[in-house]
Amino acid sequence: MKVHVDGVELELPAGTSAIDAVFEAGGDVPYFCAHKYLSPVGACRMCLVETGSPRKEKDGSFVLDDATGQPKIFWFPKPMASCTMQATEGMHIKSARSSEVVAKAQAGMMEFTLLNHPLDCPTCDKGGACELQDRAFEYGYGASRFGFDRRHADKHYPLSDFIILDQERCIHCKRCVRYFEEVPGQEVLDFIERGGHTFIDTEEGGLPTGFQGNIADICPVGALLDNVARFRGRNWEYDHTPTTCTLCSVGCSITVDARNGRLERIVARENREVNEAWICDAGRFGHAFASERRLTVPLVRVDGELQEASWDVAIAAIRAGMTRHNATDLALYLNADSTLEEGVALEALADAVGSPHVDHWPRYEVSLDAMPNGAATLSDVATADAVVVIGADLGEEAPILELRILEMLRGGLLPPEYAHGTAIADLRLVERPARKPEKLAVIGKETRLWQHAGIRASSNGHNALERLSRPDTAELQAALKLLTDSEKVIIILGADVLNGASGSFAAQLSELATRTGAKVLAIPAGANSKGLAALNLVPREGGLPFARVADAPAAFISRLDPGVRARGLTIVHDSHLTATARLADVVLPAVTNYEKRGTTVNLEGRLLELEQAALSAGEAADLIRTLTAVSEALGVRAPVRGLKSAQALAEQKLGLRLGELPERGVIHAFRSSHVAPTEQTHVPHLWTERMQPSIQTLIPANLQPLPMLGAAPVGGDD
Amino acid sequence: MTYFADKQSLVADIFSRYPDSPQGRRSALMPLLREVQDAEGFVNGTRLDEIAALCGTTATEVRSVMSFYSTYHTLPTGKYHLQVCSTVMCSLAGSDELWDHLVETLDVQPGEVSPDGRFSVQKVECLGSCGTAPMMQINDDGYYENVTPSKCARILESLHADLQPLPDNPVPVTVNAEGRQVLASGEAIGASITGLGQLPPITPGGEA
Amino acid sequence: MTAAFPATAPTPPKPITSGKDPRFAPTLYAHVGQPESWTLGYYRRHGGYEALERAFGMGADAVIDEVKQSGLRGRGGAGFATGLKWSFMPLNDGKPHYIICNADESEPGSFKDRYLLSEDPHQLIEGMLIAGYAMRASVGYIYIRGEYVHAAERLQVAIDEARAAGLLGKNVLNSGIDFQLHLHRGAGAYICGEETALMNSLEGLRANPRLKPPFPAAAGLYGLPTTINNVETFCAATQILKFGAEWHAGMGTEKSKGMKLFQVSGPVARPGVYELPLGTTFRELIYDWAGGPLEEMKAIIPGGSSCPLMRWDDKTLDTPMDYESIAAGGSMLGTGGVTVIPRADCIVNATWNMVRFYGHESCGKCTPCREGISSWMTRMYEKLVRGHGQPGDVQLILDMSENIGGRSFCALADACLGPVLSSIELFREEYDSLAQLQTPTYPPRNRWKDV
Repeated sequence: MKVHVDGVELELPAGTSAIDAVFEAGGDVPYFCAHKYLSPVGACRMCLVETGSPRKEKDGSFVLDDATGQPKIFWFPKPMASCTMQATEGMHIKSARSSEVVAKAQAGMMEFTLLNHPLDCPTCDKGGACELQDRAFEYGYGASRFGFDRRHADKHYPLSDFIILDQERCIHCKRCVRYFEEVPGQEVLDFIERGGHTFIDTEEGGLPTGFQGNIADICPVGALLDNVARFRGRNWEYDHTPTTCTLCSVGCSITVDARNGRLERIVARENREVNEAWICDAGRFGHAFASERRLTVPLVRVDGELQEASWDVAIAAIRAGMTRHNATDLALYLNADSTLEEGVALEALADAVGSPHVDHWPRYEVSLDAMPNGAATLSDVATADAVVVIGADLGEEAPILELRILEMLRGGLLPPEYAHGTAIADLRLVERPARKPEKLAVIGKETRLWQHAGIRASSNGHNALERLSRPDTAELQAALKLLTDSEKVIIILGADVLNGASGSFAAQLSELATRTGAKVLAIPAGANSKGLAALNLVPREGGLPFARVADAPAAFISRLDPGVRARGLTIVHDSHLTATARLADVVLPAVTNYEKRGTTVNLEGRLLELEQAALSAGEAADLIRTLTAVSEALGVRAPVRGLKSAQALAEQKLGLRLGELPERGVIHAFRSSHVAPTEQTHVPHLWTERMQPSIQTLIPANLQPLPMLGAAPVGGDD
Repeated sequence: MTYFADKQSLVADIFSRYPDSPQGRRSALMPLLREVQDAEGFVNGTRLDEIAALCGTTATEVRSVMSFYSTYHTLPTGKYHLQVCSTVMCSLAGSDELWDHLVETLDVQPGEVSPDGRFSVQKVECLGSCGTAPMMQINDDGYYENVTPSKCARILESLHADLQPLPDNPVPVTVNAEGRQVLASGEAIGASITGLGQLPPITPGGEA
Repeated sequence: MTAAFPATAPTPPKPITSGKDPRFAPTLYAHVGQPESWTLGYYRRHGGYEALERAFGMGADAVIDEVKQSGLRGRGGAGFATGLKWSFMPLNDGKPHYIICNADESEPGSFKDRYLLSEDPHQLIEGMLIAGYAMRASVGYIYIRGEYVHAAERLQVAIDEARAAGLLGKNVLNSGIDFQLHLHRGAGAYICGEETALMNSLEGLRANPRLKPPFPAAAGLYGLPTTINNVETFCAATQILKFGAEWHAGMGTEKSKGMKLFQVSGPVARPGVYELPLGTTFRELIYDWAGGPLEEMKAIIPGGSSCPLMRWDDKTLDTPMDYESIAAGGSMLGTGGVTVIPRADCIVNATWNMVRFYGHESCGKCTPCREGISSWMTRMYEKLVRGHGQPGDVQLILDMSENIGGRSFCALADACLGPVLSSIELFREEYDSLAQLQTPTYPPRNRWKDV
């Protein structure tokens, strides 16, 4: 389809909106209400363009212009909103670049938009990253002729603990209202009143925790703000670090904003194939621990008390402690959200010292990588014909997966992509989309997803799969029929079925997948369980699993908090003084995953990069550097001495190149997967106490606490 | 105490007007709001929740819809809720003066109820009675048309005595009993509908 | 492919364009105001539901053809060809179809539908049955504005009566056709007169207008094919099926055919509703039927407040009231709600009232309407009328209007500009007096008095 934008002819796929045509031509159109992942509504009227199309005679030939002999362009008598208009063959579009009418219309519209918008940019958190501010500068008159008082409304209206609304700043683009209706499927926010009195509010006693924070990202002005980050910094003061969230195995793309070494804010970053433009509230707001009560120096137990020490003193203490043990006695345990590079480093050290006690946690005892129809991706989920979720509480295990399932229910339309990025207006999306609950079966406990499912079967434990294979209730029969009858089906498995699952479970699942043609998506227990499983990080011959850390002769425990110590020397590597750290002999300060470079593997098997945000962490070190120190104490040469050597080793062991991944990550099928008994059950729990923003850091001491903030968490940084 | 608990047949009747689907259920929202308001004079927060549950939505949505329309009340109104049309045709016929008079003599502002609980006032937009301006509506009971100062005084006097006069329904039509229209001069003119005669029967079933 | 039947009245030699034509008979309002006119018994005694039987006899496609040939155009204001609109409904697509009657009459100056609804509801029910049959719809809704309580009650009784008599429900009059009709009451929102906003309102949503396309005939109520017509349009369909397309086409002008309910308000001797052929002049309506003005006039609003004002002069008074002639005179036929404005009333004040009305009724969805009209324009007028005008204010209103006109989501904002732009054009001196001298040309006067 040929379209002319400001005199430039370009070839576009059918279905392209006029706004995307302009951007594709390298032009620009201001817009506020349009959003890549929401239905176009044409409300803000900023994206006006002039359009005209050729007309055909009855015989199918074009009506020609007498002067030029070319098809005559019939221009619409008035400018049209380009976000709700489909470009058609032969259409001519004029943006402000080539049309005085459009330029004036946009300037006039900007004047209207700014009419009641307060001029409080200097104290607005959005300042410097505000769509309205930018567009007013680019397209506005530069002055307002509105000689009256602006609308006054509540400027500090909490919609929840996390989101605060400034009603004066709202420009009624409706993005937030559409977001809740269209994405998480919650009718919790809407316009109240009408006309010039319209404002947004909720009647639910606060927005539900889950996915509410996304409205702060998509608000084009400073009306909806992240209350956790409120007044913590200006946008130009923040160090923005694009990285990957490792709170769960989805691996959402995020940007970490730090100021003066503190992590102040996390915002979503677009990754079309993973989280689109959304992240969960835990991922966004649950970062308090990164800058609160951090361990910044090693601690060494002296006379029964942990005392601050230098790394050299700590290494000496380990060396002294290990004199009572063989090097092979030292158990090595790491958190399953550690990077692949850290895993490689630990595996190499375990190999070097010959310790059989190696483990990562959390993990399951079964590998489901070799399923007959291949691994399902998140895009597969979104575009599936049917999804059966078994034993998963997605809100705790993989929240964004829940959104991708809901995306499937409303039609699974992945937005088109252009050279300028994701389509700004996908004209196939409609407001209040019809959902098809009959495409979703949920087997397990009642969860948030339950209410969206057409087929619901209560079930407990890992026999759910067996029951589904031989259905004993009408609901299970319906679920099996859904699996059998649908073309593209995905089986999603969660903790409730995966805990304690073994080889026979895998065989059964494989049989069901073969029979139904389903792809399988098993949610890993930890953020990087899928990647770490490719390494030999499970108990070896005679080794103790992490569950039996208390029986280990000596242990090095990285960022895990079992609450017990080993029989002998206990070394804890953590970012906070956890319960376990308080019992340890040596505590080594760790960096959080926000401060690491490395690679994580999400639930699809997608390799995603972590970048290092500029956070103050004192002498804290990642696992690679820490293991170098431990090696020194053990008197062995550290096989991995840094990120590069870890990546080189990974290439050697796993056959994959790390360090130069595309931004969206890349799916990698690991050849092998190590499994072993765990001897404990994994209970997924997304929001831990240390993630709750603490009241002291939010409010200066001389101010009264805001009424909507919960009480400060007790018990410190466990 | 829920409002609809003992009104299952009424609720069923309302739902029966719309498709048996989530969208159809939602359509019952406005009729249900109307039910509550007719019975209680206004719709409070508890009723929002109740209606939301019936319609398969949230109180937020119910409040959003309710606040969009101007005839739903969130606060109690007086026993006589006087709605004065303020749009241009009535305004040109003196509705602004009528309004000022009501506010002054009843000593009540919009959103308030007079101390005796009798009166509340609301300016409303064109009620489709421009030929008989100025006009007002009392509660949902009907229109009071051509409300001149003396008529207004009579109405208020009756209301003070709790004797609400019957609403007016003057039909501003000049078609006489024979079906002919009458000119201003009094002359009946033109034909009547009966004079248009009967058409011959059409062959049934003809797929013309 | 037309139904071969002759019109009983011989084809008139020349079209009827005056209510005083001896061949013209009121039909829509023939029974309005008669005792018991709203009952099924009365309606049947006066030929009621014969048009429906005739429609059933013709076949659905022939009904649409009949309406097409009658030249009927939508009476809600836009004047779109009704037969053509009906033919947009898909045939045999296997989906349920809906028809909706727009009885949200809320255009200031319009009050014709209220009396049709309360005094002759069966005429509307019959028209909807005919339309439902023609468009293969088995469910119809009458969306009546919430304030029309009396009309709604009458209508509900009429629907119940019709249902009891087998005229609504399954197998209407043993035709094999099913048709259910429901009343849905609005709650006070002018925007519900916009068809897509009306559908949203019927679905229990905020009455924001929807994007078009898709048009209602493709995806309307509940996403299914839907056609919406005004009360008067359905009633006219009843009369067309009763008296034939040729009878209907024999009235009015070449492009504006049939009869129309004109409403007259303002200080005239006999304000009210007059059924006249299209093409009747303002002069005939205002003087011969409405008895003439009671004081000196300066402007006419020809079809409800959103139509641009016309100057009260001989040229306007001699303009035939049909879609084309009024458009040529710079305004619109609209709903046929004719309001006359006295010379002694300040036109800026009157326009302020209308602007305030549109500001109050703006749904708030789009920026130019919510901010431009609701917030700004209203206050500019208030400023002028209250004596705080400044030189340049009128120019600012004009420039603001340019930024609103044709830029809004639906037609409400443009409707507001009708009186604004026309009043500035026709009565600029009154504006200038307020802007420059802070003095109205016509000072406020007490208009509330006993006659």
